[in-house]
Amino acid sequence: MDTLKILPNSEEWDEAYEKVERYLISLQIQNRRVISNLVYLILEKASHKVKDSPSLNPTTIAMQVAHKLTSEWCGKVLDTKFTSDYGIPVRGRLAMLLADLPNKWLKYFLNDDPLPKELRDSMKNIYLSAGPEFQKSRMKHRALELTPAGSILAETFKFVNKRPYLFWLLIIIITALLISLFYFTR
Amino acid sequence: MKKIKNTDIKQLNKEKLYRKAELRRILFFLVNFIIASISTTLMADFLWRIGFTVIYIILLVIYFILMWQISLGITHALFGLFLTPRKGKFDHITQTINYNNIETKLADTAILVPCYNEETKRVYEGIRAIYNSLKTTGKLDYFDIFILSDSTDPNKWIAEESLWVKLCQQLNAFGRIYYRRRENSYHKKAGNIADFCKSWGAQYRYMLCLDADSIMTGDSIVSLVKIMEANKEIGICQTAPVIIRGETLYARMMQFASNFYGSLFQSGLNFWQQGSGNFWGHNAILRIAPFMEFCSLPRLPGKEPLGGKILSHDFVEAALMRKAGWAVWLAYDIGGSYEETPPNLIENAVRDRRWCQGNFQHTWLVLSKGLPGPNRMHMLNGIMSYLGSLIWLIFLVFSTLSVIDTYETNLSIITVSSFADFINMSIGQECFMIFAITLIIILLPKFLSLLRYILFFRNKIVEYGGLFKLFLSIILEIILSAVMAPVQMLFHSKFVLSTLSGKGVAWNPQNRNSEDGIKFSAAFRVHYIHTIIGIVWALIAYKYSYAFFWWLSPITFSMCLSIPISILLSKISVGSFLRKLGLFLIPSETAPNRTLSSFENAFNSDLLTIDSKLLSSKYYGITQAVVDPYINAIHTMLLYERQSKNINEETKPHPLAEKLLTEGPESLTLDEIKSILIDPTGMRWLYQQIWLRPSNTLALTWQQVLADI
Repeated sequence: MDTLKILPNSEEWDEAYEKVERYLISLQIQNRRVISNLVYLILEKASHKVKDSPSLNPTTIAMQVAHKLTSEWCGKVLDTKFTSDYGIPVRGRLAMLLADLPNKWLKYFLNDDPLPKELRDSMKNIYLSAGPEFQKSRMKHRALELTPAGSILAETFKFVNKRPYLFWLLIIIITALLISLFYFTR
Repeated sequence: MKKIKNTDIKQLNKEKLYRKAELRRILFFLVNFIIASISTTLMADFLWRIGFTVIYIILLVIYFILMWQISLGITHALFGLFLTPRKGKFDHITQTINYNNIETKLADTAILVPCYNEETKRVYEGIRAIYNSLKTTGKLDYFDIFILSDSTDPNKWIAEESLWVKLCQQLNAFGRIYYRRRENSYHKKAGNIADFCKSWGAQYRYMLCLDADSIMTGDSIVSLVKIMEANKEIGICQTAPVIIRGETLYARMMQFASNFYGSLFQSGLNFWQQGSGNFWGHNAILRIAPFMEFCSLPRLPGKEPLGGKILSHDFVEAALMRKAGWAVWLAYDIGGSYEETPPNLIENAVRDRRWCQGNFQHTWLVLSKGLPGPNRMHMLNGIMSYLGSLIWLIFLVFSTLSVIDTYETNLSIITVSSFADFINMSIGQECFMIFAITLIIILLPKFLSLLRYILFFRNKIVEYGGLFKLFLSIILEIILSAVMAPVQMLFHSKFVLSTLSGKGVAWNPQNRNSEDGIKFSAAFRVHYIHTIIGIVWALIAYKYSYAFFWWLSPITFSMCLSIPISILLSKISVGSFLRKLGLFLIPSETAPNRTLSSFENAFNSDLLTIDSKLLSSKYYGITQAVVDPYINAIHTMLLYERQSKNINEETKPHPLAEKLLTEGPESLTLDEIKSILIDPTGMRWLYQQIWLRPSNTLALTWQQVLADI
């Protein structure tokens, strides 16, 4: 609660609080107590940053802190250094999801305590691939060989295609022919 | 899974088989010719007796073509019935493997599930059922499943990606179930499969092609691979999927017909086609190497709809495979192969429109060099299944004109004697005989199927609700089919004419679900023209001949009532009511196997459910891909991988990104949204910005999405 006391009492900080809280929920963290603790942790760090960037909105500062903390934590777990400016890295987020961090490892999230090997292993061994190793090959293309009747039809088709009215003319002629046959031969 | 005894296993002698197949085809089509000729001879005599004219010759030719077409049904059924008790003596591909040998080694097989804006949960639950069923066979290691998406709707696309990860997590199937989406859905489903072949085809010996609504049991899949391994000359082995999960009256009727009559016809079909079978596009296994070597689809002469790119690829691929000397078999008795059907007459017509165009394109293949005769026959049958409707319509129109002419001229018909002595009947008797024979040709196959069950599968009748209810189902199916037929005739005639006149068709996703019935307005828009044609035709018939009016009434009445009929057929409530009465029951409902039961259980659970509030949002896809850290990560990772880029943490705004944030997705077109969604660095930037920016700098849609978290 001390953290809250040091924050200026403004709507902007209320919004920052809310945004950080939603950010944690979006990471599928459901435990209210954990969320509160993490919000306080992030906002406390953000409150110290205000002096460095007075022109920035508290929400932006708080979320920069949130991104930095989570990126650094992911880097620690994955033994990689991520640039925190870009938010939690793709690999970090995938690792969190696939290792089921929100349900299995929540107590270690953003925590300075030594991380269990199992957590490190399960996050490092993430495997998400759209397909096996790409192995480019070709489908052999073969052109269609038409019979003489097919070739004649193809030529006719080409001719009619350029003159679409011919189709309907043909239909009218056939119909007229049939009707004439019907009329004159009854 | 219908298992055959080990003692029945035999190696099919290729040479002998093809020689026998030629004889069988001659026998089969001779029988069909005889059946068609009986009715045509009577018709010819009838026309002779009332005064033969040139126009009647045309009418007779049309009549013979129609009779040939409809006789195919009864010929298949007769052969099917004859073959049922003699199954072991006639070659079928399922005889060639040992079902009990669980030690058999299989080959690496890819199971392909192409999808195009489908209901994601339905597709993925089907995959779960297949995966779990394969697991129980102990042969899962031989199979990889590929979800090959061509979805263009961002909502479907993002749902597919996020639920794919969820499904893999639940099944622990990463590296076993893959998801790939094409940015450009070039050449539709055929292009989708070809893209798979070019990317990964070399790694597998077989591919099992499924549809988005397909389900197959593990046993059936394993058997198919065994069949391919045991018969190295087979290029394609097609199963005979039966329709399941019908809810509307229409779908339940179709699934009953597919389940109850299907195997009788397929048995007859297998008799004459043998290794010159057909490919129906799904629920079939293909040998990848010859497929890639010989089945690349050629470009047809001219432009679409009749030329250009091939729309219905399956028949063509089977023909090309056969042309290259590979066999194509129908494993009709393998069982455990399922699909779904459109829920109503209108959705079915939408699909028929596409198929009609595809089948008419096959004319070029029929006229191409080197294709085996049976494959030309398959294609001609496909063309005739639509052209036949137009021919029927022309026949009916000419019959009407003939009646009009007779009454207009006020001449009474003076009949002459028959041209053959053996036809010893009055003109009235002859008319009745023609009508009766036509009815027999159309209806007998349905009762032959019943007879087959009574004689050979008596214990299975209970799965259709028992003998009495089964009989009632058949009667009801006959009535509904008769009522639908004239409307289908008008639909198909229109499709044929519009295809021939050069009107193409768009690739629309299939709607496999239905609310309780289509709305009156929707039915009216589609069927008002059928109603008008029916009324006018009935009035004309009434004016000239009371007898002709009643003769034509089954057709004209169906047309007049097409709107209410279409609505009735689309009703889930009517389908459920009949189900409660025990009508149109099928074995998968009364005695479901483990795969189907597990599918239904999972489908009715929340295992793969997306919050309905989120999913109902018009902008579900783009908003979740931007805001949700995990969905954004999955989406970005897949983009990097598809674009063969290393995942990097760079972010760069897309030119439209600022507009998306400040004015919301509603300010962008669908194509603009899709252009943002395919940019991985842009998607990362958006994710970063949406969280960094204060709410009041974001569009209202974003504020709402963030508030709903």
